[in-house]
Amino acid sequence: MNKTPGFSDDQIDAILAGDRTGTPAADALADDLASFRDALRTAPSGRAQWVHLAAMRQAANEEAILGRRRTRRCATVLAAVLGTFGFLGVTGGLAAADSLPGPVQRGVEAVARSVGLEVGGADPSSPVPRDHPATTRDGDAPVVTAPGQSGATPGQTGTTPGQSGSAPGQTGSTPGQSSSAPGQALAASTGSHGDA
Amino acid sequence: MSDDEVVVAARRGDTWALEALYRTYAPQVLGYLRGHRVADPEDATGDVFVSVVRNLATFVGGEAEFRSWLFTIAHRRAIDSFRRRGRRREDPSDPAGLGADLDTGTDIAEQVSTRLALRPLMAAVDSLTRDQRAVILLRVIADVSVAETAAILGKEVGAVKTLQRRAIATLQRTVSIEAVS
Repeated sequence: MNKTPGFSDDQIDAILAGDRTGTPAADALADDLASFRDALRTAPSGRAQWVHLAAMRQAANEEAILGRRRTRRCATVLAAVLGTFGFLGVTGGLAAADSLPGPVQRGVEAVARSVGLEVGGADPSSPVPRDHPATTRDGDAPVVTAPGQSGATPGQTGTTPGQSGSAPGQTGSTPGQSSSAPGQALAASTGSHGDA
Repeated sequence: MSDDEVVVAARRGDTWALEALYRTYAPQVLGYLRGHRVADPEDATGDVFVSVVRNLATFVGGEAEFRSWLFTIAHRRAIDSFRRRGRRREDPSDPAGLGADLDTGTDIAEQVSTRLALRPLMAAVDSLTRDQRAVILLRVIADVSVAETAAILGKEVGAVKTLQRRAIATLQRTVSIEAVS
């Protein structure tokens, strides 16, 4: 195996920079690397430079256009986000203050509950709207009555109004019937009716 | 105007600043990609600078940070080339891979002479491991410090020092053998 001279870090830096340090082995390599640098580090040909610079100008123009589009898109997205949060903030605030109309209030409460928030003063477990005074709470039997209803038709007492088991004025017999024909004598009446 | 101000102007999209950065750093980026034997290094250099322009809005820092960032992009471009190259056979006829990259603006004969003289060293650089070669090319071609090299390669400073020490030893052996022969 070849034994190579051990150079210090400073010597290596000098060799790579093409600087002479007074050490023959290092100087020879430094000279070669300096020539190597000069041979490789030349400008591109004139035509290549022209092509490269034209491509760079085109890319710069495209990036400028894209940059403006990106700025506009960002502004639009930002406005939409701010608008959404503003709307939600105002709506949520009004809902918390119970200042929204009933249906809207219930809608906002439902949406808020779905994301784990509770707005407004209503019991979130109550499925019945708060603006109905005759409501029931959990555990009560549901009462299906309308306001003012007491279970029966007003004035109803179990029978048809004015009904008393018989037709009006009826007393168990045909009206005007007195078991005898009008003008008929008592004797005739007793002999003709009820004998059969 | 300072280099930091040029970088700030480039971030604003000023064309003159982009051109200034290109003219300053294109030779180094091209040299780095050539050293890695990237296929069509000039084309790859253009890709690197277009990528810089496209991502400059996300860059934060001054000139030193810009240089590290630029070579991070160039290094990734080189890795992409390694992956593509791994799927096809290489041409072994030009181990240094520099035959087509002579600078037409200067003396061609001198360049050829220099490169012929450098062929052993270039072959030695080719023989380094990929990480060792990256460290040597960043230190020599890109003129970046050990700490910057570590940041570009995503390695610890100690690891970079070890890599460069081993690489120098390998290159030293090659130069010594060549001098004897």
